[in-house]
Amino acid sequence: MHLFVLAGPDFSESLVKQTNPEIWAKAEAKSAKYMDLHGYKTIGAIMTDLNPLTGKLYLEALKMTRVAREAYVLLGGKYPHPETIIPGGVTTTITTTTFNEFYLRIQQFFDYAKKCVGIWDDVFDFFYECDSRYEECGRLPATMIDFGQWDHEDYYDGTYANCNTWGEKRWSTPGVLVDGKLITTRLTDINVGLEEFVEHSYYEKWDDYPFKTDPLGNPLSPNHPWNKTTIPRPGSQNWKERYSWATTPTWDRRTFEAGAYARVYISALANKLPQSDYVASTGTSLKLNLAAATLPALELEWKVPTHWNAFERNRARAYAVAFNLMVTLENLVRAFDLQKRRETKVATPFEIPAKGHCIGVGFWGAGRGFLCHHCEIKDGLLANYQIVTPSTVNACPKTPWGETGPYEQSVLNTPIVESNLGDESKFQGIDILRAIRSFDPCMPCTTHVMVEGSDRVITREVTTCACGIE
Amino acid sequence: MPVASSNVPGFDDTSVALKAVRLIGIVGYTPVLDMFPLSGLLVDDLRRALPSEGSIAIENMSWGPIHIVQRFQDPEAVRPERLVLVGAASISTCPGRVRAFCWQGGKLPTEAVQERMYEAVTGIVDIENTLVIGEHFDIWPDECFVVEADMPAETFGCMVIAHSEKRAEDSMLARELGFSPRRMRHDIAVTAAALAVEGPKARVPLDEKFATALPPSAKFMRNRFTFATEEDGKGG
Repeated sequence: MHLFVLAGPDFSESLVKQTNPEIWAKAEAKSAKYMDLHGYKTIGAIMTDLNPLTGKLYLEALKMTRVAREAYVLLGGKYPHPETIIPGGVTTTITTTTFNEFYLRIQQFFDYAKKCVGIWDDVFDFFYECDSRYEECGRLPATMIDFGQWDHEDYYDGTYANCNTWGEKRWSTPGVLVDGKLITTRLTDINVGLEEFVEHSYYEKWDDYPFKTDPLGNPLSPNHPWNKTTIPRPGSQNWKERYSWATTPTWDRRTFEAGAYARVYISALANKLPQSDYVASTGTSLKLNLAAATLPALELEWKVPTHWNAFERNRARAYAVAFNLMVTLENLVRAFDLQKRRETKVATPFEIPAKGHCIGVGFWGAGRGFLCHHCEIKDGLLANYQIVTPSTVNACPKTPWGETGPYEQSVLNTPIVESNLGDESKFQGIDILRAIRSFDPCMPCTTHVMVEGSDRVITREVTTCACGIE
Repeated sequence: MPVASSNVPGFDDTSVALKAVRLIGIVGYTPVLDMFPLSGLLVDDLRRALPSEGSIAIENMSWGPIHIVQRFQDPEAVRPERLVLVGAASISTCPGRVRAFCWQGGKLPTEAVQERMYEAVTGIVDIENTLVIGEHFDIWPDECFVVEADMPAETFGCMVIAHSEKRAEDSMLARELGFSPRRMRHDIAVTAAALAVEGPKARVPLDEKFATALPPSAKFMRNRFTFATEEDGKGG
């Protein structure tokens, strides 16, 4: 959805003709390298079908989101916000029919995943060829965090004590990447390094510091989510002081970025994926063994790029479609096998302690990446609940030390390649839009808008979080 | 998504929604805050106000315009002949007022529709982007009505805080908000039910709403040019 409906139009014929007519002229004549995957002879033909609302690729993406949702609903009951998840497992009754229905949906993605990779490899390689300044569009050091996703049934026990073991056995590996270097893959390291700052946000600082350590004795900062209290303080916008409803999450006091692509990047570098016929990490790349459908079977390989920018975020996102798909297939095959062995348990009984003071954490990922929930329970009741979402991570304002957030820095780093410049009314700001949209913003996660020059806060009517949409 | 929670017996919306020829869709429905005028209590009020034979379905239509388009495009779905969309007005001018409109559609430029798609894809769901995107994909029936509740944008937040501070009685909220949420809920239910039952013959004041007359959505980006002077360039 993101690639074709949100980011895709920025590379479409209708937009590029307006902003960079010289590039459109080249695109019409430029042969596509991966025609065998997507069927388009020229880059221009791809760009025509990226046109918003009418392009075939745009409309096909809408259709495919429906297929994915149908698959999801078979297990989750509802999308988004599934109704079948309970503490300790799920309530879904699984039958062979459920699995078969599920497979019928996901097999429609075998060719689509190949097509996505072919299209975006072609489009981005072409833009680089046209103008090397595109390498600077939204460029940042590759600093990102992901908690990993998709637990392995042989290792996962849901305990914090064992989270480093089961975390590293996930089908996408947790990790912290700083300027392209993998620092850790341990969930406890990621957790204890987290802090949230509000110096430039519309919140008050809090005084409580209830948890000096995590349950394993690792030290926690007063700014850690387990210690945070949310105290809204709306006010007028001041770019030197407070200017955002997003907080500033940091790890080791640095800002970082989050996205579906972080799953690909970190899993590729970590080289810790469990043995699979479908996905493999090499330490420098991620290999994806896509099953045959109308197109023959194909091994795709995502390689760590030499620079990290808006184009590479989206390219890795295209590979993430294939990664998600093949992990799903791996797990469907495993589920069939468990069912054959009559292992059909879908939940482990779990009772929330009725007495005492407990803390818990969920390390997971939304469709848009990094997601953690930290909670505190007193005598069976929620005492505090903190969520750090991927859109907060990416949209965050400056740290107390002046380091900018990912949106901010990526825009500052973006050169204007738009050539059809006229007055303010003609300028599309396409390069800046490409930089911002490469982060896949989810507006409900940060919906407050300040009226310029006033203390007034307005909100759109926002009724659902779209973090699950990818 | 049929709305399931109700204290009023006698309806099975799950089956009704699939074959109903008249439909009330709530955009901005919340199951978590009873006193909000678009909550489960509205569903109960609507059910009381509608004929009991169950030919009019009530649906939560808050799950995003694209999902709604696809739900209507489903070859197996019976598209309603009459639709009443209920939601919050995008601009508040007279808090507490409930107005009804007859949707007249209209063609917008591609850029304007795509701006609404950007909103939808990034998770913003409101009655106007639902109308515009539905119109683009031609899913609305000939008889399409809109019932808008005029609530200032901070209404939901005020109610959440009032609820958490245990001062959520209607009279207290009315003092704070300047209108009675219960009264508004009642007005919405009466207006929407009348339109669902009677269509254009309903005895409710009815204005027309055109796509081209909707206020444009907020642009993703605003430009402000500052032209560099020769002097600026001298410093390298």
